Amino acid sequence: MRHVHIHVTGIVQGVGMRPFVYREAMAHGICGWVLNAGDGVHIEAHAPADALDAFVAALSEHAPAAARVEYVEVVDLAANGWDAANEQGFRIVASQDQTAHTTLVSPDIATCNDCLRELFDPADRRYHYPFINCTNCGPRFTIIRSLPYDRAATSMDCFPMCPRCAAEYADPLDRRFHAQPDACFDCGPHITWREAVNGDACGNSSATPAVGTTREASDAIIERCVELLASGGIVAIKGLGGFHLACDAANEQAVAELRRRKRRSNKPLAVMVRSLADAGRLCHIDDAERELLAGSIRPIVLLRRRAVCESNGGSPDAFALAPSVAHDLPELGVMLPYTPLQHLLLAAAEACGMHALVMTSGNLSEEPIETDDDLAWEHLVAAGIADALLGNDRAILSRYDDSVVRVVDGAIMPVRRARGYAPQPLPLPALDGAPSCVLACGPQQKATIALAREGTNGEAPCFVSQHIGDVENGGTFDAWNAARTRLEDLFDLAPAALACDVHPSYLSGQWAREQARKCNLPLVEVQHHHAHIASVMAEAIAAGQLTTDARVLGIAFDGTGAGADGTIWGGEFLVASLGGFERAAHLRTWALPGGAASVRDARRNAFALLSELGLLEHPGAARLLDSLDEQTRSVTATMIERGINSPRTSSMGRLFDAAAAILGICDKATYEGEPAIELEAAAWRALDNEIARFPDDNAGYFASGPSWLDGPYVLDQKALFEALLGGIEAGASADRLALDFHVAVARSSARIASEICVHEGIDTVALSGGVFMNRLLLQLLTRELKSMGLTVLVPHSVPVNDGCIAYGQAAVARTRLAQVAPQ
Amino acid sequence: MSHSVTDSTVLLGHGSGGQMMKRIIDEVFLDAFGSPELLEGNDAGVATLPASGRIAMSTDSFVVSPQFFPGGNIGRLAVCGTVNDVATSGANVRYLSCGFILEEGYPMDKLHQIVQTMAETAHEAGVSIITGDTKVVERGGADGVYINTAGVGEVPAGVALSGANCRPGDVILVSGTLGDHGIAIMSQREGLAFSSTIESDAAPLNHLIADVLSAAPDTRCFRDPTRGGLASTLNEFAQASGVAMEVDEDAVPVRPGVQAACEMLGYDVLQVANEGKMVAVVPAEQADAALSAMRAARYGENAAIIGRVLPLESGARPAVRVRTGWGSTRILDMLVGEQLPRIC
Ligand SMILES: [Fe+3]
Ligand SMILES: [Mg+2]
Ligand SMILES: [Zn+2]
Ligand SMILES: [Zn+2]
Repeated sequence: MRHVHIHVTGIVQGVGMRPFVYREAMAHGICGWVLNAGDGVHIEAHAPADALDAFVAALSEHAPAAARVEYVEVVDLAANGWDAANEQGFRIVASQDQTAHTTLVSPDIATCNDCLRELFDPADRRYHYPFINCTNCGPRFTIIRSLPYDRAATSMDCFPMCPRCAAEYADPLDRRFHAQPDACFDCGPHITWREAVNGDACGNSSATPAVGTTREASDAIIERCVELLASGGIVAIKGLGGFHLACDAANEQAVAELRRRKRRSNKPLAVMVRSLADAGRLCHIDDAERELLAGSIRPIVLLRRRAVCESNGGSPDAFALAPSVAHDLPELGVMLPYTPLQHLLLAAAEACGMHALVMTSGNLSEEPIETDDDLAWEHLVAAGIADALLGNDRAILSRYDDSVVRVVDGAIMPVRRARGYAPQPLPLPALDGAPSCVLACGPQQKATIALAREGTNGEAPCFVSQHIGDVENGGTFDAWNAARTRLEDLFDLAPAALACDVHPSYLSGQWAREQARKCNLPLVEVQHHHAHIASVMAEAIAAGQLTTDARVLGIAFDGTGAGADGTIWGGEFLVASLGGFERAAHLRTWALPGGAASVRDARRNAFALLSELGLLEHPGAARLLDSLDEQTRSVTATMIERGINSPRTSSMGRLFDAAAAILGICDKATYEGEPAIELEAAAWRALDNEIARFPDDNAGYFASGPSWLDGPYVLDQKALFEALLGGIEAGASADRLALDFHVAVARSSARIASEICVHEGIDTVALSGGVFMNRLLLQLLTRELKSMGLTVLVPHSVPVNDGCIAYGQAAVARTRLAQVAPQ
Repeated sequence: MSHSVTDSTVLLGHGSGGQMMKRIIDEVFLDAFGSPELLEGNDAGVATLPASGRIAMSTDSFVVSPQFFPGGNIGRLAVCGTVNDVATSGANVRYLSCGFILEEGYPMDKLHQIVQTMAETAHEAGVSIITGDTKVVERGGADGVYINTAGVGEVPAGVALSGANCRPGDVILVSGTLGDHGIAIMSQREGLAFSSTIESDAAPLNHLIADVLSAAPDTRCFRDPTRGGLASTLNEFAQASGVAMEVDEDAVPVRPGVQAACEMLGYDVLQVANEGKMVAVVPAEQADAALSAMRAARYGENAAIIGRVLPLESGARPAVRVRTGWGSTRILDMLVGEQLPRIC
């Protein structure tokens, strides 16, 4: 007989681990107990040696689907330490809190098939219960107050279980054994309904909401909600990590009204459809996309639209979407229901002939999504954005946006990493001398934060928060603070060093500098584009594709980042390692009159670029100049000439904006990146409609300086824009020129990259930066680079946009601090 | 005044301490300023101490380029700037000193104009210029005219205004439209061709402050939002008082021409300099009285209540937020050097 202690770490909580352990113990005839603690699952087992070995092997081999067992540590205890006479059988003991909060919590999981079956089974006692779940599915991170994950430490603590639920919860052989959010109509949370009367939300705000305490009442609420949606109404609906604003995606009037009320004029909206089949009626779906859409995470997946590709209606069973859902963009954000309530809603909507609902984040423009019913009423309904509120009495303790992903060349590329992904740790290389815990404060926009702690087994886990947003906004800055303290508390981590962006006025950086001074902690300021490239490198190192000390050529094509020379970078070729970089090449700089003012009005950016290139007089620029009034032209010219609030930039994002404005494709950005996004859409149109293949001919590559040995290469975009203007003058279609522009940027960039790689003896290129959200450019450039024999790295666990910055900062800061630490 | 200018430009000799210096003092400065204290011709102007026993004092140097701009000139700025600084303490501003640093070759008639404006502005403010100084530097050693002024005022008994006095619940007022001065100067200096002419707002606000103080005696503090604009002023208040502040963007008075210019230039109007505006923080129950007093006063017709003081949430740092027209908020920071855009 052996008597052992087993410690299991990884994602082992909220995934049905203990019932699984119990069943395995039963199957192998093991005596003992299992418990959840802050640092994982602990087991004590007493059994013959053979049985024990089989049991231990099963722990990692047959673990539940949602679990991720990282480490099983077995320590022998004295065999006589087991009171065999009195301790027979196997039991699950109450959770223990321990100081080491190092275990991993499962993210929220979409409703499983077993629960779905019950949800729609009239004979089941949870028929139509909007909060049905089991150990294989349901809310997790959004309801956790503290670790270990136990009902008392969640927002389910105020719902005492009824006898029937309690019995399931206590039965080791039940699917709901220790399912912390287990509940039913009798004992659990209920949906609530409040409606603005005659459009007057304020007058009705004191009205007691309808509460779905019974199946009939609950069904009535859903019926009323769908009725309102079918009549063109807008409803704020509480989801897992926050509110959505929903409307009928086929009703142009409703969608336009939602846009008007939310002050979101052009930014594309995501839709929710009931099934993969329905998604297939809107978009092309490949296997990887199918898996993402219907998997347990259920992010918004950006898919290639059918309606656009197959103009004139497409296939007969295609759904018509309201044009203003995503205008003419080639991609559409689609998701499938992931909560029981969403399944009920979509089923009821279908019965009313609605096949797709717009499900956009429920927030005031620029602010974080609402999570609290009363505040949502105030900010969304009373403020006149939604007509009604479908809430519930289960509190959301952590705000989570929907994650957004896309598949490029068969592999996932995150666009927004939130629900279902964060804060699962991403690996960083373990380094001798690195601080015990680094807090990376992230950028200003698309902010995330990262906490990297020292690890075991050659890897250091880096907890990257969910997408937080633009911290310039008051509410988002609060959310940034909340996410930071939550990560620190939950994982019991106290930062020993800090990292932030070099930008002098990012709020996250200001906080970091102040905190470093106050607490006397080392602070590493990381250049924005180095962080971009480092995030890709860190991921590749963890995947064994690069060594820890590798050098790569990083191509950072981005919107804006503070450079090391006082200009704004964004079209950068960096010879980079994790610890440092050298700027090997960059775009020729030009002035950005008014800074952000020229980001909003791309025509002024274009004017400044052409002025820099000496091309304002070109006949092809006439349309652009005509679109600007006399005062704007004159003031802009003076600002450039005298350098008034006109920082110089080498940003590729701004170069795309300028091209969009020159081609007349998009003049102003009503949301971030709009001109560049429209430029890409135009290029796809050219591919779809005109030539259906990548063109081989094109004029106007970048010219580069004579030698870059004396300093960085300067890529001169003059020839490119001369060709563009020449095309306009010759009457070429804007779509075609947009495509040519993409090809020229890709080819020129690849050529310069290969020159640098040859000279530096580098064979790997890492791509990051918001400009690579452009799928066409990403594919073209990747293809070019690969054809030159170079290995191309793109990120698969963090976004290419600024969502990667905190992770990259953590990687750089750890490396630098390890380098300076006394060995 | 008479234009008995003997010399047409400023010469090095005007700073010599001799005949020429006496001439410029007599013909240019005494003629314009002519207070009894000054006319006594002593090295120091002697004035009577106030009964309250407390004085307020402030000094400022003015190096603005160009010296003449729509709405005023450097002389008006030099008087208003110091008068307003002293007045923010709640003091009755009484005396000014002024020191001139002149560049050799500066046109004498322009100097006359500047000095004349100073005299008029001092008269309007009800203050006496009681001592002064003149230096002349070689060509290129200065940009035309630099002026330093210092001001003294008596603080009435019981008045103790301070930026550290703001309390949650207090109300923030501003005495008029923001951004006029900064945009006027920049347009003039850089030759920006805005379709509407924007004028500087430079004005002495000591009477306005006195009126507000008598209508709202528990006023916490005043400050003139000069360089750094409203953003700096409110952040200073918030930090000194350990509170948060919220400004309603739509309530902030801004001239359409200034708004349009700021949009074009990429400036936040809340960070642009003013020279004739006063920010006041008053207890909520006296806000209406303070607003009426401001609006009734000269230069206060566009006064408005623009925000409020909020408690600081635990752990948060003192900060100023702007609530936009549609309910979202943004953090209003102090300007950090030359602005680098933050948006991607
Ligand atoms: Fe970036
Ligand atoms: Mg001053
Ligand atoms: Zn389930
Ligand atoms: Zn129950």
